Amino acid sequence: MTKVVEQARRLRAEGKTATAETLLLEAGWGLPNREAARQAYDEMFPPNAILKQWLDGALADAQSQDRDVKRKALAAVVHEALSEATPSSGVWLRSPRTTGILIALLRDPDPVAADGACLTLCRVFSLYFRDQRAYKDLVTLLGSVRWLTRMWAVRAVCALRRPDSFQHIETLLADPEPMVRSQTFDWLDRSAQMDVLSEKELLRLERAARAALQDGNATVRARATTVLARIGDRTTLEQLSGRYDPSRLVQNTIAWAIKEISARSGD
Amino acid sequence: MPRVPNLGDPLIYKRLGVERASSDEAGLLLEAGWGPAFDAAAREAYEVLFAGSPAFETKWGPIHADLTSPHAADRLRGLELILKAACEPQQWLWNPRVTEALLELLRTAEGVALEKAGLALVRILGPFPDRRAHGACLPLLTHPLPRIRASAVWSVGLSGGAGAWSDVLPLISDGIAEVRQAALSSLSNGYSDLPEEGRAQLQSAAIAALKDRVDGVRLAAVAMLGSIGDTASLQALADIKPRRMVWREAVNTAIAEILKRAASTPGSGRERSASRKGLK
Repeated sequence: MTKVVEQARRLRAEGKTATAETLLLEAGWGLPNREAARQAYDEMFPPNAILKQWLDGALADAQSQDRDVKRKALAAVVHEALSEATPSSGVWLRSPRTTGILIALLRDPDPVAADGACLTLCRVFSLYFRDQRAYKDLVTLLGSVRWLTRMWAVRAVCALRRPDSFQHIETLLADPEPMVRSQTFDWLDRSAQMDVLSEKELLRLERAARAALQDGNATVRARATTVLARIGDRTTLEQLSGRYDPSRLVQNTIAWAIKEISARSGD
Repeated sequence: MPRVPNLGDPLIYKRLGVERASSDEAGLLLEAGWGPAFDAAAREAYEVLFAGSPAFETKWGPIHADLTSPHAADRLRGLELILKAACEPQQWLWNPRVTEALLELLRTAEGVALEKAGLALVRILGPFPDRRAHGACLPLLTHPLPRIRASAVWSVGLSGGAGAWSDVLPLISDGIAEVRQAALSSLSNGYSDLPEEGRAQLQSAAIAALKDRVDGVRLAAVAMLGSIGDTASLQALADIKPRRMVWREAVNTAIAEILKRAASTPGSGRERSASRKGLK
């Protein structure tokens, strides 16, 4: 028995059930990915009434062969997942049994079903636990011919906060679809704030953001400017200071970025 | 590039007095599906995953029943409810089903109902510029009732993308002040994304509107020149001798905006000299 499992058992005996559960979820489905932790989790936390209700209801329908049934069920799952987090929604969303079903749906031939699964998983990774089993399928979706799929996938991959994901995401900074480019900058900005990116990757992101200041889409330019505001230095300040942009949105973002970088560099 | 700021632009919400959560999932699909790109895949995904959520149906169901009622009083009540709800940022209103119902009323309603439907649509198009409203509102730009023309001007400007300026331009010389003011104000939104051709024509129209007999129209023209940010209009602004505080503030704000843009534009010596002249 590993140390983590022992610790989880001790915590549970002390009445700290939620902490014990988190510990096992992180050890079993996070990057350490320990079989012993997964077994202990299954044994210590069998499905409760709320989870059972979802497993037998919407999550079962989401695996139906009937496209309409599946889509309706996923709409209910997405709605619940994206609504304000409540203790009862946490009970069934924070479960590897739920994420297991959703991960299988990432390979569904119906792209809207895969969209729903991807959106829900992204929310689960951001709020509850990062189930690394999804990584391989999500990386495959990054290369989808459908731009919406690429956009949802990049958000979910970033939410997994893996140190090895930048190489797969970087190409989407130059995606032909502006919304994919802007979302990639937005979510890499979050990764940078979470210290997920290495120094080398930050430099590459900065270089891409500087190049994106010439992008034809104002939202992409604004997002790139936001990235520069967080990771740029004095040389970025020089580049932004003399910059004119025809879009008001970008102008305002540039003004804010200049303030941010100046404050950080003590100017 | 879209002339109207996209759903993520905080400016448009500030201008229209509403706020919006950051780029949430439904918002991204709305922008892609009903914005300038009018992407079919985004519309399908939105319809399946978000459009008919229970929270939306609870609020929309009774209002939709009113709007489609055969009785005029019910339809008016439904419109009142939308107008009341739209006074505050209410995400459930930014739904294609709501704009669709309002567009249907714009095609069929008359008098007060038409007026209220036009106003309700404007309030919703600020945060959710549904592209379908552009075509539906174009015929209303020549409606005999001025308030209908005024709301149509806003709707066309908000939903029409980069080409809408030429639809709205003739309304700057409308016979009714409220319509002229609406035309100038709606064109000020996102002006900076307009093509060069549109900028030159709108600037001339705004300078001409500085001589309008109605204060509100002149103030809107001043604000529009500030949005355009071209140093060529500095002289016209400097020639205004404002006595009232509201005018002094408007003119000074416009001049400051123009000078700010001139300072950040790689400008010529002639432009810098014009800036100094404008400051005098």
